[in-house]
Amino acid sequence: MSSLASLLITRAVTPTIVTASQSFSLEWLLESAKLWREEYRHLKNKPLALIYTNSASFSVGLLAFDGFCSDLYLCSEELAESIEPGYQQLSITISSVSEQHIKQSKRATKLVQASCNLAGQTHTHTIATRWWLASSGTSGQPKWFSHSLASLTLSTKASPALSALCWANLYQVYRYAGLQVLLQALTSGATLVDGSSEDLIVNVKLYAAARVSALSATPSMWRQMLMTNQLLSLPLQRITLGGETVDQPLLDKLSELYPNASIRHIYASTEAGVGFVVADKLAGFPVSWLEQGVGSAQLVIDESEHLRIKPSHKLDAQLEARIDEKGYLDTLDQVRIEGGRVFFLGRASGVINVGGNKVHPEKVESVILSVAGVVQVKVYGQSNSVLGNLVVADIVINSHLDWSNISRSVRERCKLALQRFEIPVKLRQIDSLVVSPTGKLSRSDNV
Amino acid sequence: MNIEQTVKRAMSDVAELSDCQLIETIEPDTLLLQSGLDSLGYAMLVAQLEEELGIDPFTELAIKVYPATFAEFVAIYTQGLELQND
Repeated sequence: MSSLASLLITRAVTPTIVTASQSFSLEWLLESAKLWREEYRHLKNKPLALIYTNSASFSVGLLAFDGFCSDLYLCSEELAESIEPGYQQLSITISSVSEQHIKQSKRATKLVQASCNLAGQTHTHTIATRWWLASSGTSGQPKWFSHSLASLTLSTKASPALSALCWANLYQVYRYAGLQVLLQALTSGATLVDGSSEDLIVNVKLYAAARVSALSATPSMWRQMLMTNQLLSLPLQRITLGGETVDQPLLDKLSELYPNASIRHIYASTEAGVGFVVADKLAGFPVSWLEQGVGSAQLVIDESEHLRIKPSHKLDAQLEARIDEKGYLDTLDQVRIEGGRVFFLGRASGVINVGGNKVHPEKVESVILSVAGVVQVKVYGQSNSVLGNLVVADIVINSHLDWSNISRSVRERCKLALQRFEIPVKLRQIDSLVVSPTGKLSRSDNV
Repeated sequence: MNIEQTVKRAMSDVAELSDCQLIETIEPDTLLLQSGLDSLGYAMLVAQLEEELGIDPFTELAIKVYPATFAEFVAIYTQGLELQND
């Protein structure tokens, strides 16, 4: 049975995590992990919610408790609230490192010793830890899906070229995409730069100083990076996009700026724990993959024009209702074939992707419907060149009431009950909404 | 109202709607990412300007330089409108 620590040791890689002021070697990460595991040895075979603080601390937590705890829930402070209250919650913060802990020089004997200590424990007692990642569920409440280290590291590779890369991660590390970047950097022995500023320009300066050569971000984040006017200060060799549909103009712009870089867009499903990479600098993916499959996954398009995917590993049991008799999972992503490519059109469920954040129309509708005078409402996405989509609401009110008063109340209620990206940017008063014979709002009948 | 004024007014409208605090004076060389609007604010700004001016230059393939400053942002709209009128 493998654990993250033993995987790094088997691959003989020595990743480093760098912040604005510090650098953490693998030796140091492993030593810290050992101390944390010793301190929390009562957690053996028990579930643990690991709360993200920064990349180095989070990596220490993963190295310490993978192969040791029965379950690892990867959380933010906010997500931790949705975890079973009986589970231990742990927030590791390594803010100041004492001198004896910083060992920039990777002395081989020390490294081997630290590795063996943890690996020794791992080999004798390793259990198959379930890694839990949150995906936003239909009601907007987080839904947890289990993965294994094996499935999460399936697409990671190690090579001298990969270990020379310096990564920056713009994703939240406790989410699927962000974890992929962290695991790729760790298991390939690369350097990972942790920019913690709220200001993108400050982070980009840090990335430039650290000579970041590999960057993974959503298309919306890439557009923002372009707006810093400093993107070219990064010597990028590897550009990765994911989390949203990737459009051709953005791919063209990036390949014009970095003609020699590999530009890859990733399609990933948190639920399925699977992803595939498109590297030909064209939007969508080749239609031939529907015949041949991609990597270890098989793809088909069903009669509702949803993409179905069949990974080589076992799918989470919670997904059973969406898996057909041949083992294909309905991704609920709507696709269209055009000119030899398969393009993504959006979520069949009506979920709106605002710059990588998922918005459930039903949740926004229920907030708006709670305002007195609102009779009917339909929330949907309007395409936007900056964030992919924005949220818009069509509202029917009692005809004898005043629209300006009601729209003001709707805005106020939304501000109280919703996150910023969920609040409709436009409220439109309309006379009536199309309702299907079953009494449901017609989601296909968008403007 | 010229384009610069239209953009400035739209920026303050959007700032209010999106709960952003615009910096006091926006100069031509003010960096967009430091003007007080965040990415949601910019997305709303581009949507609002599309309604008012009838164009979204960011969907065009022709954009050579991504705007970093206020002046560059205005220039892209000016150029977009000129192209439309040609």
